Amino acid sequence: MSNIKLSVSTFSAGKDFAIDGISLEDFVRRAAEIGYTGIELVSAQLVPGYPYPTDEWIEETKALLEKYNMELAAYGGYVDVVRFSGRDLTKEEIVSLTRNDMVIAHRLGSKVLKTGESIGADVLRELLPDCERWDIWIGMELHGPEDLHGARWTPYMELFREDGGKHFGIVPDTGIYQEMPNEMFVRESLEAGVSPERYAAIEAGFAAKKPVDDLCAELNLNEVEAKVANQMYGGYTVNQIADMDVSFQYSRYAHGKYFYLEEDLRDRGINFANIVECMKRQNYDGFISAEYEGYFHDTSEDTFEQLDRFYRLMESLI
Amino acid sequence: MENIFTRTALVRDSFQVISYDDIQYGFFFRFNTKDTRGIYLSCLEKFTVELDGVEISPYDMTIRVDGKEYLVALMPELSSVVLDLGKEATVKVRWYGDLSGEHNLSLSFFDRVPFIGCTGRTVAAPAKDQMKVGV
Repeated sequence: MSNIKLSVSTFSAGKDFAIDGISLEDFVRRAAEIGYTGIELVSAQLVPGYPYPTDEWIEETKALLEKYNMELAAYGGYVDVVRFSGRDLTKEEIVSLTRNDMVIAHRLGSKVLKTGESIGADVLRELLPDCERWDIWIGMELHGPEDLHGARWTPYMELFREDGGKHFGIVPDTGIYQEMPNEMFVRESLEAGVSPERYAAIEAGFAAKKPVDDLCAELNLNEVEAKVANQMYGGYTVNQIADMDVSFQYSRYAHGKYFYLEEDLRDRGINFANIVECMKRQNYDGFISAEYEGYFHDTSEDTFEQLDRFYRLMESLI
Repeated sequence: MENIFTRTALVRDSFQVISYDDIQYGFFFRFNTKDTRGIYLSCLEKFTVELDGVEISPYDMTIRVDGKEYLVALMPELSSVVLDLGKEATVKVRWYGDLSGEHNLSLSFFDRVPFIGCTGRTVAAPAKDQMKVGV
């Protein structure tokens, strides 16, 4: 039996924090008003003194979450491997930094630390006693262009199978399940000068899986149109739907990445119904955080309207 | 469409001359990094300021973050100084030339993404901006 809970990542409001200057409390309050019961706090985005917040900040943040009855679905850590000029972090430094993130997560009351794939499976093995001590699950974000079969993820998968996903696992980012171009891609293509009719013809060829060179020749695409066609094939041909089940099998936390939801809650690129069905099939027990990234393309969209649409979409599917 | 990365780096109207007792000896301005997270100053590579096409020496510039001021030449070592998301830094330039009239100020740098890649194979986003300033 699955238990899918809805949270929202602070990363969704990147432009609201950076440009509009909203506060963390503004974000938490508005997320709670929509109905979300958890947030992911992205450390490098919002933690003053990152990666070493003060005791006062930790206490204030705990109080803020309690005030809005909000759970910390995940603490979003980073492994900043090229933070220093001229050398990478050593393994010992990565262990130390990740342990630091675990301590913050634990102090804030979270049982999930989301971190980056550059951490290394050997580092995770060293942190097993800490996971047990603090009852923290460490999730590695599976984000494009990586997949489960590459050299980087193979050692992780060996570890996850050994561990059974109890202490470590995968944070699937739903961006890896995009099958068709999202709304922002369409807008940018039209803005670049492709007519709606020509865009539709390119997308129809892509959907029919025609080779891109054949499509360019068949439609006699001009330079701008050919660039759009190549970006479409480059960005959306490889998705990881075939690995969706195994990804959620080892997951306790997920990122609901999307770029735009229509008023009727349709995402033209990602089939969220399929994803939720998979989560149910795998008896998924945990949060999935809305991770809206439309502002990477267009900052004029209303973030909280998009977050409201994601909440309503997921509620209808769960 | 405006996106989070196409915002201007130089803060308009932030240019001011530094003077004392009617003697001009420099200027300052503010900028942001156009990033989606806080960024270590050590990750701002090839930080270059030009006034009217003249490149300023990194030894003649300081960068001010959270009330503390650092020599720009030392930025590669400032791996524990973070410019927080949405915050602006102030660059102060030692400049003894004539600053009257209109000038072109330009700023460029590469924003090294600290969690992607490894030394020699990092990912860095270029930022370049310019504005006309007048005294």
